[in-house]
Amino acid sequence: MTTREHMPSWVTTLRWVGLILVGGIVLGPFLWALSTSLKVKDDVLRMPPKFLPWPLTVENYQGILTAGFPRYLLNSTIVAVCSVVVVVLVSVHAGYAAARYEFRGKSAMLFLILTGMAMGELSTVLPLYFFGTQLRILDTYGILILANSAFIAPLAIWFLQGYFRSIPPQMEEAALIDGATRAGALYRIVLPSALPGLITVSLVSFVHSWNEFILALVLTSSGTMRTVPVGIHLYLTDYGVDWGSITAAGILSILPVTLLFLLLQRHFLRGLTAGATTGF
Amino acid sequence: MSSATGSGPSSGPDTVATRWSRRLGEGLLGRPRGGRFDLFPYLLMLPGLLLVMFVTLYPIVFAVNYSLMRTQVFKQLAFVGLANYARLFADPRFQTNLVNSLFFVLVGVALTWTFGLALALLLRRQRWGNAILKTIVLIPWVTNQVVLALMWKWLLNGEFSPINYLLGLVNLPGLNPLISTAQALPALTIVNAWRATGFSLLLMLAGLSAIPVEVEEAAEIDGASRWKQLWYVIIPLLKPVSLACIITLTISFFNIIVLPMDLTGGGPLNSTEVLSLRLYREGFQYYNMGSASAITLVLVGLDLILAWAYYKLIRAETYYR
Repeated sequence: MTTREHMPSWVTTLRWVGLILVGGIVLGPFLWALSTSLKVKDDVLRMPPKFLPWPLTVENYQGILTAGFPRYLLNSTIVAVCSVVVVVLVSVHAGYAAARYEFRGKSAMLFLILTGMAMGELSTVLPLYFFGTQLRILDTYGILILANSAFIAPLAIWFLQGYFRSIPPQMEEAALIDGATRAGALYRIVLPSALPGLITVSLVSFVHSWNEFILALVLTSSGTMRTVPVGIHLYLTDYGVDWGSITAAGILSILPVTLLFLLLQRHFLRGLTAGATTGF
Repeated sequence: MSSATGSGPSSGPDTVATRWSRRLGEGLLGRPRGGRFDLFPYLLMLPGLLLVMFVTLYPIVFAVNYSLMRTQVFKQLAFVGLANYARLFADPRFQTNLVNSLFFVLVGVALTWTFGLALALLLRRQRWGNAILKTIVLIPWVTNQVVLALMWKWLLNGEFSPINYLLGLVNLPGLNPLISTAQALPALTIVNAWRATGFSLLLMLAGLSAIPVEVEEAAEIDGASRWKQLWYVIIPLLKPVSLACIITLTISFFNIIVLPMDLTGGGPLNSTEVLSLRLYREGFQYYNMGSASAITLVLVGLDLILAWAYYKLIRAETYYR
């Protein structure tokens, strides 16, 4: 801030070169995939490569949209939305209890919840698969929603308890004095003020579930239960190496999450910084 | 940081939180009513606790149990003590897996943290262009790894790679890292750091914005050079955020599966087969649940030890909180 006015022009130039270089390194692979997805078959494996897709075609997109990809999109949406609902329901209550109440066993319970953050999905794949076979709920939305929400819950609880702590308790106390029940104080007073935090938790949960791969791969088996990442993963085995279709599917799978992220970025960032500073 | 702080750097957000919770402990909400047992907070906590146990306690009990058994798929044949572990650690392939994982995680986390900090320093001022780039860098982090892996596989293939074409234009030799036993693991590690940099950038920016302007101005007035400011002022003040960043990344990198699976498939010659990929193969290709459970516990153990070590390390050096 202090040196802003005195910045020599070569520094400004250097800054812009740096910005463009970083932007190029990050976006380059995405742009190459986008370009590939819009190319006609003969142009995909052409040397020297064509960087711009010309003649332009949407046949790759048409191809995957008639081949089962819509079903994968539907599955992913169902699993992600339901997981968000479960995570929000569970973490609002647990987070609130952790932020506002002192009770015996609280720190032990919180510790048990937080160990969930140290567990990788992979470590649970085997037990969950076994669990699924025992209860005969493999290959259903139910087990995917259960597994996904269980994974996101620790982070969500931790985040929300931090968020609740940042809300001054006076309003709740006033409501209680006015005769509100304790649950009423939570739902009517605290939740509305915690809306940005809830949006953050929902967004993070949605993105996590949408992108989740290994649980969806292992816990489902039929073609109609595949989520988007599993579907794309299996394209290689199902259709062979057809880069046009694979990149088209990839672009379609990125689109919803990227849009959501761009639209709600402000909430996402604000929420994350609020949680990070109380967390550690 | 919350607006209620504002009493200088010495009282961090922890202090505010503690003050509030103490006040609440005495106040209306937290007071045990009439000294009787209050069920309400337990009811609030219970659903979350049960849900999370499903992916913590249950898997660990399961893995401990199975790792001590000789198994046939999920059937337990006999108790064998630590034989599964002994066999694993004597297995050269497993030793390679372990070394690969350590390289992938330690180098990967170091790169990601460094990239994140460097970018955060570049982008911390509110200027046109910075906000856009910040958003762009976060895109790989919110993209699913299957797509990222296939994208890079397509980009790094030796024959039709646009990168090699561009290198050829300036008379440089082409790259084909994914089929080289020496280059595949570094390539995988770098691609993963590229993916995760957005996350570390975000945390570093949050950390930087929490450093009061006065602290840096004071250092500048005292005549500290930019590098000295970075090394003696900024990096130490970023330690709590760095800790959060490093722990999260370490756990996530140890458990990564899709990127190695779809980018290199563990090859060539197992040179990129990390622990997580081996675990998947033991479980779902060889159906050897005993070994897979043992690897699971090694993985969980590594996560916990590293998280604890980082925590201790940073606690020991953090004297200003």
